[in-house]
Amino acid sequence: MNRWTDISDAGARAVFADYFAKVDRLLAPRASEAAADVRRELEQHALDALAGGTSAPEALERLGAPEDFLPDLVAEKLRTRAARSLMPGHIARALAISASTGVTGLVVSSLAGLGYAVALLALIMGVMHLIDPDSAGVYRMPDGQTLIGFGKSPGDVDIYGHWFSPIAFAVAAGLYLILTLAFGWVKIRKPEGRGRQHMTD
Amino acid sequence: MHFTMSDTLDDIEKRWRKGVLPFAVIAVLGKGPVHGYGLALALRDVLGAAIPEGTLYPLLNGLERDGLAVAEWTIQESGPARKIYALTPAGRDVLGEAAARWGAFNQNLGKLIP
Repeated sequence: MNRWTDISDAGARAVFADYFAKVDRLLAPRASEAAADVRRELEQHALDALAGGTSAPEALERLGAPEDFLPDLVAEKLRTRAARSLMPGHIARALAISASTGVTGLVVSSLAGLGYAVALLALIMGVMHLIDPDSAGVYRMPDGQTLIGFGKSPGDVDIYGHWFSPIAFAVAAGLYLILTLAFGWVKIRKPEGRGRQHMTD
Repeated sequence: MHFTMSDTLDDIEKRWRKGVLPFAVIAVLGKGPVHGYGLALALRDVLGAAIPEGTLYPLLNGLERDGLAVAEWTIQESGPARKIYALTPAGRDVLGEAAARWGAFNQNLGKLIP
């Protein structure tokens, strides 16, 4: 049997329909090859259990509630894909999905997002400096302080000169690479809950 | 509110089942390539009722990501396509080392149990 829709028993089909509607709902915002792969595998797992003589409700109960393991699994697959491809689209998707999996995911994604923002800023500054050296750079101000920013004021000294753009590009590329690899391989784990609790008083 | 003895025992058991699960998964894969459901069947006694079989997939994904296992969709002559997992040489090395450490751990634990 390839699909749960092939199940002949109407009751079992209804149980599967309910379960995989939940799976689809959880995977919907994660429409990707990774999500399709996960769905196909879960479906085959449940169908194998059914073929082995397990009832439909028991097969799905053994598999577990999809909301307990699916979001983290898909987020991890997307992070791994982003680390391998290094494509901005994949990274953005992995950031968004990881942020939606819980507090830990949100914190990790926010920190990574902040890092990417810095990398983007370095890139923009590098390009601006190429076009107009006075528009962005590292300047020493007349009072001796050093400023990294946009717009050279009268009296400021451009510290790196023509080297600023290559340095900015190298910083942007390095940061992008390090963040993507680190984000791709980080293991986001939820804090474990305590077991069942009984009110005895 | 406090925990009953049964809750405490259930909690302890659930934690050790969860703790040994990654090792158990690698051990099953060490016997040969297997698909997700086959793995769950082999692990039924280890998983117990408290750990859903769906949790095996994040574990398998982690092994794949860490280069300890590879997975491939295989189309069989009869029946549907299945994703088959197999240990890589690095995974076999980890299994060997984990088995040695488990043996030592088990021996030490045995000394503590009356």
